[in-house]
Amino acid sequence: MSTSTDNNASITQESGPSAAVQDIQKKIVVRTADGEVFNLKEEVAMEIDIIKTFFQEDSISYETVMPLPNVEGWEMVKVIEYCTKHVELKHKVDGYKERKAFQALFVQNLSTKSLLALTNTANYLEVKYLLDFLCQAVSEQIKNKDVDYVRELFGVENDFNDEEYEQVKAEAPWAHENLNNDLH
Amino acid sequence: MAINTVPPHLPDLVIHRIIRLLPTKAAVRMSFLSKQWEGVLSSVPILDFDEGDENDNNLVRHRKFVDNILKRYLELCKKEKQKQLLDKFRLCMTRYLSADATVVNEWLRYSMERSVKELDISLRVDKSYWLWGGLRSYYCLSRKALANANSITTLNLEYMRIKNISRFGSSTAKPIRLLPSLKAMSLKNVHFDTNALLYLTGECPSMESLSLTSCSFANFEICVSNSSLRSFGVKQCKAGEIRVYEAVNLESLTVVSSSFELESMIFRECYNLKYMNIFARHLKVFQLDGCYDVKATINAPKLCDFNFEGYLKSEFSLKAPKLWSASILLWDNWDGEFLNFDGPWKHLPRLRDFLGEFKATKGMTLLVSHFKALIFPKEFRETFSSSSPKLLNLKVLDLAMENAPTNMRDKKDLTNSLLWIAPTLQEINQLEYNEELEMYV
Repeated sequence: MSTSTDNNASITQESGPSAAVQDIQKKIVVRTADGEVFNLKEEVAMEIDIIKTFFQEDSISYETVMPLPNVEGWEMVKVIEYCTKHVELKHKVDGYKERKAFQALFVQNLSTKSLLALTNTANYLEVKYLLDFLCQAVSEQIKNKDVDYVRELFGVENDFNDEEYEQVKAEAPWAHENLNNDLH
Repeated sequence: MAINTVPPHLPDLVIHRIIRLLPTKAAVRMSFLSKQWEGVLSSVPILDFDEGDENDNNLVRHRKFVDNILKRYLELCKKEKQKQLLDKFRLCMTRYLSADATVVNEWLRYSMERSVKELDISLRVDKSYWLWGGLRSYYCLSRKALANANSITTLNLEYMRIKNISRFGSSTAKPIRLLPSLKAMSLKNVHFDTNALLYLTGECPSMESLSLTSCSFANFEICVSNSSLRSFGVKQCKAGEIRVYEAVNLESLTVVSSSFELESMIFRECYNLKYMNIFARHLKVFQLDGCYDVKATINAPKLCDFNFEGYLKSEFSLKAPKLWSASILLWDNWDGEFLNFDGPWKHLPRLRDFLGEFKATKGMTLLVSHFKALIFPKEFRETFSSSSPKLLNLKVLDLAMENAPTNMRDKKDLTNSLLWIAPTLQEINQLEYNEELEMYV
C-alpha cells in the first residue's frame, strides 16, 4: 500500500469516530492515472457509482485494485473529501448550514480550470450530487460574463467560421447586450 | 494541488447540466462559445424567464424584459424547426401590465406546442397599476389559453385571475378534459370568478394534489369536487366557506385560516381521509361525512356546530371551547358483535376517548346502530372512573338508535352509562325514525 507524501487527506485516517469502527469497515483500493493509490472506506466508496458498479454488480473481490485512468490524484482527494462529508451529513438532521459552509470552502481555492477538471471527474466517476454542486459553481462563475471572457476561461475554441458566427449572433443580439445594466 | 495548463474539454452532458442552471439570457449567450455549446443549448428542456428585482415601478426595465428577452427569445425559438419536448416553462414577472397578456399567451401556446410538463407562471402586477386597478389588472386565464394543455403534469400559478372555463352545451360528445395529465396544482394569490375553481378542478381527472394559498373568490366560497384528489391544502384564503364533495380518494387535508372569515367547512364522501389538520380562527360550522379512519386535529376557537358521520376508528383532537352542539353519527355496525356480548370491552375505551373530546359542548346528538354500544358496564365505569369523558357542559342529549333498549334493565344501564359520560345531563331525548322525512326526529 504505497501512499504519496502530500495526500494525507486520502489515507484512511479521515476524521472518523473511532479507530475501532474504522478497522471493522472494509476498504476499497483505487489507483489513479498518476499512479497514486487510495484506500477508501467502503461507505464513501459506494457513493461513487462507477466504483459501486465495478465491485457490486460484477461481484469483484475487494482485494482488487480498481484502476481509474481518467482521474488525477488531486482530483481523487477532492472527491473523497466531498463524499466523506456528504456521508457524514446524511446522518445529521440539520446539516444545512454546515453543508453550505463546507461547500463554500471546498471551491474557494479552485481555479476555474481545476473546477472544470473536477466537474469532468465527477461526471466520469458518476457522483451525481457532486456533479450538480460543481455545475452550479461553474454556472455562477459565467452567469454574467460575456462570450469572449467565457471562451478564454473555458479554453473553448470558436469553431464557427466568420460568416456563421455573424449569422448566429444576429439572431439574438439582445443576449449580449447590457450585461451589467440589464437583467440576468 | 496539480493545476492543468489546458482547461479540459467538457462532454455534452456536463455542458447540458451547466446550461440548465443558467438564466435563459446567459444560456443563449453561451451558445456562441462553439458549435458544441450551440447544439447543447437547443436541446435544453427548460425555459426560465425571471424578471427578478423588487416590485418597484421601473417600467423601463420591465419593457426591456418583455421586448428584449421575452419577445425576441420567442422569435428565436419559433425559428427552430425541430420542436423538442419541454420539461418546464417558467415565467415570473414582477411588473405585469395588461399589455403583456399577448406575449404571455403566445408563450403559453408555444410551450404547449412543445408538450410542456411543468408550467410555472407568476404575473405580479406593477405596483402603481395595482393600486389603480386592483384585480382588474390581473392576467386572466381563460379556456382558450389551456386549449392544448394535455401534456401538463404540474401547474403553478400566481397572481392571476381564473375565469370560468366550463364549456356549456357539450352534452353530445364525451367531455374532453383540458388537463388530463395534471397531477399537482398550486395556486397562490389567484382570484377565482364564481365557480371557476369548481370548473377548473373538474377539468383535472388525475389531479392528486391541490394547494390554495392567499386566494380570493368572487362568491366567497371554495368549492371543489374531484375524485382523484389525494391531498388538499388551503392557506389564508379569502372565503367564508369550504365545500369538498366526492373526495373519495382524499387522504390529507390541511386548512389554515387565521385572518380571514372562514366560517364554515363541509367535507363529503371523504372515505379515505387519513389525516386532517385544521386551524381556523373564525370557524363556526364544521361537517365531515364518511370517514373510516381519520386522525383529525381541529383548532377552532369559535366553533359552535360540529357534525361528524363516520366510524369510531376516527380520532379527533378538538380545541373548540365555544362548542354549542355536536352531532355524531357512528356508522359502526355493532349488531353482530354485541348480541352475544360478554367479551372484553373492545370499543369502550375508543368510545370514551372519542366522546371525551367534546367536553365543551352544551348539546349533543348521538346516533348509533345498537344501544348496547353505548353501555359502559359497571366494572368498566368503576375501573376507569378517573378517565371518564366528563362532558360537564352537556345538558341535553338527543339519542337515536336503530335498536333501542326495550326492557327496564337495559334502559337503566343505558341511563347510567350516559350519566357517567355526562354527569350533569338534564334531558335525554330519544329520537324516533320518521319514515316520511327519512330521518330521526
